Amino acid sequence: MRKKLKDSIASILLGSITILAISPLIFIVSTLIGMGLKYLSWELVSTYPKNLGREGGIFNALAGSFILIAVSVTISLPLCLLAAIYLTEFLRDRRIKTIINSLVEILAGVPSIVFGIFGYYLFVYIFGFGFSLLSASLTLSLMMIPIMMRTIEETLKLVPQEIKMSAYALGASEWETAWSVTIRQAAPGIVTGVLLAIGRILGETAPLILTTGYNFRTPQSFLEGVATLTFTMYEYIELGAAYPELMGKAAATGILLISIILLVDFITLYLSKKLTKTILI
Amino acid sequence: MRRVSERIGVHVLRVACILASSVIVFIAIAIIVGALPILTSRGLELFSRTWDPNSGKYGILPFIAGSLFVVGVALMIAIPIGVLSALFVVEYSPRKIREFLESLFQVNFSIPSVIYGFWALVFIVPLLRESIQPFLSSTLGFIPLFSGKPRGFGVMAAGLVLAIMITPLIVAISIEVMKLVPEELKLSAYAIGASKTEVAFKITLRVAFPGIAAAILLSLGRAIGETMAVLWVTGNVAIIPKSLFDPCYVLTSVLVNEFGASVGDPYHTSALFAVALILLLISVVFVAISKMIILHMERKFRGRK
Repeated sequence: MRKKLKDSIASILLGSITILAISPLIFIVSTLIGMGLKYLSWELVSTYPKNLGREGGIFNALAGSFILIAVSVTISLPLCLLAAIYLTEFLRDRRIKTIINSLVEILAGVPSIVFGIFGYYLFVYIFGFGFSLLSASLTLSLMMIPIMMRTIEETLKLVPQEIKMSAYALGASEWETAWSVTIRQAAPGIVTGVLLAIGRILGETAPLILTTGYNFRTPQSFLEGVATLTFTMYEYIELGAAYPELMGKAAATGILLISIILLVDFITLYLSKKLTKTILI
Repeated sequence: MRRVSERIGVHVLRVACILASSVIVFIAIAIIVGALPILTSRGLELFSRTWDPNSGKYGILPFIAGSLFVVGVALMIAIPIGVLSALFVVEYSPRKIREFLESLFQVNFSIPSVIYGFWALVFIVPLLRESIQPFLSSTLGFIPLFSGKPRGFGVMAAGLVLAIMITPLIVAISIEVMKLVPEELKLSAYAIGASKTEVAFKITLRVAFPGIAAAILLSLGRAIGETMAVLWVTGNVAIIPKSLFDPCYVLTSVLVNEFGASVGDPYHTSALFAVALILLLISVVFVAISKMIILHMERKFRGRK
């Protein structure tokens, strides 16, 4: 009996700690909604900002986020895909494999602000791209490498050996097997990997502060600055002390941002639960 | 013919692989090279207490102290809460609630750090300034750690928001490693009459300990490298904080605030590169160690099954 009692006391105690651990999530969401809901409107998502953002919407940021992500994926995906194919299908030496994997693993641990410093120094300053869409997307594409490469690698590994063997038996070379058999089998997993990377990168702010200038319009060239949802939040919060209404707009932007990221993450989770878990940690 | 083009193709793949894996090397080289001028010209003076770029004083000790203090506070809060929550999820909660809890913790990973930063500014700072800090200073004010003016901005606010941010990470990894604990161990404990609580604390917690340590190291690395969540709430004053109420300035914040403007002043830029180098080293070392521990645990237990 005493043990039972102890168990239920422990259960209640630990349960309340768990609730305590989850509760900030509720506070965060309710604060955002409380401050931002009255600014959420069709006008917000469909018009360009006017008067330093005090009037008008954040269409520039919404479009900018999508453009930036699209360009970054276009740079990063081919590189990661080719690298992952080489790693899983052609590289035999286990030691080199481990070295490459740990280098990518270490890259995953680099703080985002350090990517920002690197991006600023190399792309903005040395290459002279300035604060631009190009500098920002190059920087983000580097940040995507670890997630994208690892997910693609994991999916390629999951393709059953027998399928490859049957291709070889039909006289296909390694190259042909990799491109027309393995890649096709792994296609859904590759999509998951890309979505996972997008979900992570949508929320990045620090590297953008140092690489993208702000832009009240959608950029017309790669060398123009670009606004994103996160960067708009940063801008509005920085200006928020002078113009309190911008804090409300920052909250509304935050609601949009969270909704988009959650949507992407849910699709990812739906596509592959296992893959998502291995990468998150 | 087919052979030749394929061989070229494989070379292209190899180049892609080398490129992708050497990004970290390029980053490290760029940052080390960037930090060299200040390291060679000032040496250990870099670790002095005064940061005043206008008069050529580049002491980065305030930032190191600020980061360590803030992360220390965050871990003191996040470790017990995170580990005990994970224990509840794995050992006490019914199966259905367990999945629900796990996905709730997962949702936290979808919240971008800039939103934590915003929330900390509009929620935590006023809360600390108006109620928590005045209360603490009137009851515990005799302890130096709780002395000073209740400003809201400072070590306590930054530590709190970081704690909130890394708790889900500690929970998620701890859950994963606790699940690795072999069922036979727990069953044999139950068989000799152990209670649930005894199994949880004496078997699960103990066997999973290395993995939990890894979770803590990983979140330590993340917390030190975190930028947006703390940028607006530390107060950004380059002093060495002595009390939880003191404002401070962390490694990441000074990079955001000063790097863009520093170009043109070579020593200022170089000093900031040195800050980035410290960040890079700390986070890479902690993340690497923790991943190694987790990998080791997975091999040990998965292999046995």
